[in-house]
Amino acid sequence: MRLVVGRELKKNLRSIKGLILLVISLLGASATAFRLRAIEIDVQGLPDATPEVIHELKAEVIKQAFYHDAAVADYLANAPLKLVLIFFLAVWLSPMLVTLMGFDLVSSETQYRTARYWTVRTRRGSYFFGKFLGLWAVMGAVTFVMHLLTWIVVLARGEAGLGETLSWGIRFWLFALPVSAIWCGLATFLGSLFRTPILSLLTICLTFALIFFFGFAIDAIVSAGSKGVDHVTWLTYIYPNTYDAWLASPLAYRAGLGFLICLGYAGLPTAAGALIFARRDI
Amino acid sequence: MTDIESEKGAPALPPLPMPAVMPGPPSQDEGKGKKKRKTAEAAVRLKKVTKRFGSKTAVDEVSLKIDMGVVYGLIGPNGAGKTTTFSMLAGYLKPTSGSVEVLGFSPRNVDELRGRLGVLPQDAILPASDKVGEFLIHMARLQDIPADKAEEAARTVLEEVEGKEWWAQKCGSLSHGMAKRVALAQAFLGEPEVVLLDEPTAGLDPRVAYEVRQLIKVKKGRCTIIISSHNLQELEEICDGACILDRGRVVASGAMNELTAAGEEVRVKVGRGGAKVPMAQVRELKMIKTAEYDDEKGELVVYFERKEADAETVIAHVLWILLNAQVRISGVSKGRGLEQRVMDLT
Repeated sequence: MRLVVGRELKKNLRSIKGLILLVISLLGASATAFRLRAIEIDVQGLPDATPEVIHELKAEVIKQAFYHDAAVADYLANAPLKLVLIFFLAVWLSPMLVTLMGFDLVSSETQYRTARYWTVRTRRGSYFFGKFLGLWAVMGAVTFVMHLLTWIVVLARGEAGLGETLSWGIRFWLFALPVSAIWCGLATFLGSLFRTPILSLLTICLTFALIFFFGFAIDAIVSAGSKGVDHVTWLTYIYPNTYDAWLASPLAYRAGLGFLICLGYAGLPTAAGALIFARRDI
Repeated sequence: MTDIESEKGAPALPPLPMPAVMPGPPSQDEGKGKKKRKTAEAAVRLKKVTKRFGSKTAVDEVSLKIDMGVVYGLIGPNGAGKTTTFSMLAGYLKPTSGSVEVLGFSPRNVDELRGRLGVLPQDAILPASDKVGEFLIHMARLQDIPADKAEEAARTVLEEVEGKEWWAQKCGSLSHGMAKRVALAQAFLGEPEVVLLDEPTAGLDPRVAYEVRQLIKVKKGRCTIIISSHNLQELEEICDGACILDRGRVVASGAMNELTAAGEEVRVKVGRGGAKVPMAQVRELKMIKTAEYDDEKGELVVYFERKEADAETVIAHVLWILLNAQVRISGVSKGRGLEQRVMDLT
């Protein structure tokens, strides 16, 4: 499995696809930095603003724009705002990046039967999990670049010290990883059901779009707080990006639970895919 | 149908559900000492294997046993079930019913067969973005060749297929013949005990095809090689035994000289314009059962008991008679040739 992961990393990071994603990451991170400048000017430019007032304002911005949970917003208000936004953006972009990186992960090797070279040497389950882990590792590397660039901007502009930037930055990067694992698991599973990469791409796009809009709609319903909404709250759990707020929660048990759910959510489609792949003809 | 078959009213070779066991060298498991391995009784064993794709039966109750150390051919026309059988042996396809064993294990038991089974798939594309060296090293590592020996093993097999200068070349930039040889190299990586080759010379130019045949001959005796091919002359030249498939069933199998009747008949092509073939004299030879002369084809067929004499002795005696009678001889062959046998059976 280690060898498959290593190969996937090497293959993706030096491919044209990898380069395109790097450029997207650079553009995304730069755009984020500029976009946030305006918000920060509004918050920090207030006359006679005490640190408490700035903290409250930041918490309100985070609550309104990103995370509706007051405790999470209050906790994240301690971090430089740029880092919060890049965390939110990295999670939000996860399905798109995973789709681009992983749609042909298995299908391209079954289409032209390249997988036949591996399957006499490695267990199909290991091969499949290796593919999943490879994709996740690539996602980790791509999002790390996005985070890293934001750290540099934050440090260069003197918005936070090195310790604060790294402490929050690394935490945010780590918080985003379990969520992207779910998308990776889903993409690896869906993509492996077809022998033609274009069909894999279409299926992943369609499924992710459905999940995305479903999550968006449920979130809007729950946020509106209308009567009788409680019994549909559980539907938000289907949307993988729900768990970023869990992972970023100041409450350890909630963060831990979020992590475990992500692990299970990512593991389930991967295990199902591995099982199907192990039994099918290639 | 040949003359003798008409005379006796029997098919040349009845379908054999279980072919004869051919002698081979002792198991190569001995002395390897890497891990305790089950000693295989046979290199490959298929028991009543059937493979269906929907309503279509591609392989129908095929039984086969191939001993260690032999070179064995899977022969048959298009759609005979060669590649399906091959794919089941390599673990790519799962049989619908029956059992397949390679070195005593299911081909899908990768843990037991890793490094012991090498496969050249017919139509599998090499990963285009990988360099040849990287690809071979990766393959070597996957089959548990230690990191410090993987490159050496990869370079050795690449040199064997005369491709050492392709080491840094991307697989996607290789010509068909070069890619085939790289694929062949990965099949022989790490000296596996059983090697499956699907159409190893298809699409290669004659020189390269010859080199590939030479390579297989070099490997002969060092491992069991199973070749699926349309090239009957090639198989006749390389293989110790073969199995002829038609419409998913085994129609004949056994040692090559049994299939071609090389140990039971001698054919002499008689040139035009010479003396008449002295049939009475030929038939007087003690070691022969019977002899037929087809005037139209200009072919003398001599059938003999393999217990009485070998083919070479029969050829010597028959040629002596023919030359003394001033018959013009244009060719001599043992048996019918695999091609003719396949034509007769499929």
